[in-house]
Amino acid sequence: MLRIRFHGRGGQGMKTASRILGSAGFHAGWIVQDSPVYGAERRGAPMSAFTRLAREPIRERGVIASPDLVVIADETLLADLAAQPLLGCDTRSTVLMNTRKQSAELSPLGAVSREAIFAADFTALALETTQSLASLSVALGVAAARLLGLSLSEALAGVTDELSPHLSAERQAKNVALAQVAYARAEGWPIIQERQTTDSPTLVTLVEVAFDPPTVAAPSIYAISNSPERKTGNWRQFRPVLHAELCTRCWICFVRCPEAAIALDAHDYPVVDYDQCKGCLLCVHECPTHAFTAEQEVR
Amino acid sequence: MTSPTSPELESIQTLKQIAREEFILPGTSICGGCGGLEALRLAAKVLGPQTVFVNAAGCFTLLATFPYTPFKGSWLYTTMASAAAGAQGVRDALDVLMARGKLPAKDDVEVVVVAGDGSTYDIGLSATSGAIFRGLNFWYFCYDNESYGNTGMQMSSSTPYGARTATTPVGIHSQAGTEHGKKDMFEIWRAHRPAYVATVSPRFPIDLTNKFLKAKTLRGAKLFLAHAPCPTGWLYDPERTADYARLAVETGMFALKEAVDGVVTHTYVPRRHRPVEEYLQGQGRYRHLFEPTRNDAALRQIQDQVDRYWAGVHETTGAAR
Ligand SMILES: Cc1ncc(C[n+]2csc(CCOP(=O)(O)OP(=O)(O)O)c2C)c(N)n1
Ligand code: SF4
Ligand code: SF4
Ligand code: SF4
Ligand SMILES: [Mg+2]
Repeated sequence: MLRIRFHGRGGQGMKTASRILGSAGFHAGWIVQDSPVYGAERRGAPMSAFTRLAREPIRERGVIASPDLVVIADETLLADLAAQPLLGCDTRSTVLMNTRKQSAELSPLGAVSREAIFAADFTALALETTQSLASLSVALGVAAARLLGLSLSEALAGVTDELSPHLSAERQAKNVALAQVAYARAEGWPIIQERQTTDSPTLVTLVEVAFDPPTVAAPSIYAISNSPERKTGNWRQFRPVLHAELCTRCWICFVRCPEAAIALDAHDYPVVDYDQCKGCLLCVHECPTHAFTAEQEVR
Repeated sequence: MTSPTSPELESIQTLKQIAREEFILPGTSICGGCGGLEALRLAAKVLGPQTVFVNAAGCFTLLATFPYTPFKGSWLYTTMASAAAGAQGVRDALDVLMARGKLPAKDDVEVVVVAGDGSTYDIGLSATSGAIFRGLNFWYFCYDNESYGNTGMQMSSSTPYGARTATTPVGIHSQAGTEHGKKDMFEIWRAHRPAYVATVSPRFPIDLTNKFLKAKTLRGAKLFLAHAPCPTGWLYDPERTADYARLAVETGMFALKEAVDGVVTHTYVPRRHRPVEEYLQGQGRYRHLFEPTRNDAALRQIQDQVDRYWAGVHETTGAAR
């Protein structure tokens, strides 16, 4: 069996990527399974998805603890305790990373061997080909398919299956074009082989949780206003950058930012809190004088 | 830091009278560009720090996820059906404590229900009806994203005709997606004769602020329906939240109005309404009305319904901002 784990942020399309890979595998004659898992979180927060490809009926369910391939849509997830994309990787695992960096700059990545780290800037590919970040799902799903040895036509069949039927013909075509580019990008990389021996799963002892009365068991927060300790700045794909010379200090961006991530300084110039700004770009879109521009995050 | 928008103010005229201080801090798990949060943040600037928000399960439950809270005041999480009942309990407890001299009046807090449309229009309507009927002195803020958002955008009775949701997909037998019309919650609330009912939009912050300022002077049930453009569920880029909030009002799909003791006033009547298509187009939930073929019948039905509504409105109230 081949076990593939996708890590992304809500909205980056990793659920769809895992489905594209699953469908592509299905077209190649594998028995497949895919499923996403979200926390109690929203667009921008870490999520993961799992795809299994096997020659025999798949009896495993749920999370993939020991992945053959880990696909990481967003480098900032490496440092995110809620994501931990390298968990369970060993010397036989492969990592496919969406990043501007070279693979050599990335290692070491946990126990993963240097030769098994593949990196490319799929975000740039997606933006160039489809002008939409949402199609990262297509790029990474197809690149993963290639890493598992699926053919281009199988990968494309997976894409066609999983693209929303509501997409316009033009967007469909752009996504197919992106799939071809992403597949070609992955073509130089070696194909991941199925492991011959599977380690027998380690048995865990179940811990029985004793009943506590609600006064003890119900979570209570006695602090106030401590949410900023949880930085949401990593959610950003683009950052708003102020060009103060164009700013008329009209307050519009300050009033519109849903996050309260914009404060006004003593002279009424907006100051973005980059630790928290989620990069929704409302401020960029709303500023009447175009004093804000959106710049892609480089991390 | 200045205090919250001064309660002595009866109304504001410019954006720069909106409080600088924040009462809902960043760092929450709410989606970037959430229109509902934008509206609640502005409302909180009038309500100030002495509040207890009583929440019904929904997206906004993620505002305060253990062990973090963005609030300067308190927060109580209840079930989808019982936020208004929770508000009654909190209000009664505060009143009893004050009557017994155990809570100085200066430490009293505003009790504010924060609930989604699923809770407001469907699951929790009964509890709210009871609370208004009993004359409970509380606030109710419904952020209306027109679906059960937290569980993946299922249809609620607030979902408008023509919108596609997870439970009203587009098919041969339902080419419009949602076939039902949106429930008129404003009128249902108004029929209870509460002290105050209003609709608000995050894109009209002065109108929103003034409605909260006005309600602050009233005792009894103060109920708000906030138009809450939702990039995640309505399928558009988050930067366009304010655009859709504005277009909903400018097309007449979302009427800005209030009712004091049952008497309705429209607080903003656009001189000419834009065609509803300007609001619908670009939202993924309506894409099937335009692609691959135009569904003229459904579009006409939406436009007709808006036109019928405004044909019954004879006010010409000027510019809200
Ligand atoms: C009685 C009940 N049914 C179902 C649920 C599961 N549930 C939790 S949040 C939610 C969606 C609530 O929708 P809405 O009130 O519109 O708020 P939104 O999520 O859109 O913010 C649902 C169905 C629940 N908590 N309680
Ligand atoms: S909206 Fe633009 S001009 Fe107005 S305060 Fe913000 S940056 Fe300045
Ligand atoms: S992009 Fe602008 S509006 Fe959005 S969270 Fe950041 S500062 Fe606020
Ligand atoms: S799903 Fe919609 S309403 Fe819910 S938090 Fe996200 S943007 Fe806001
Ligand atoms: Mg809702």
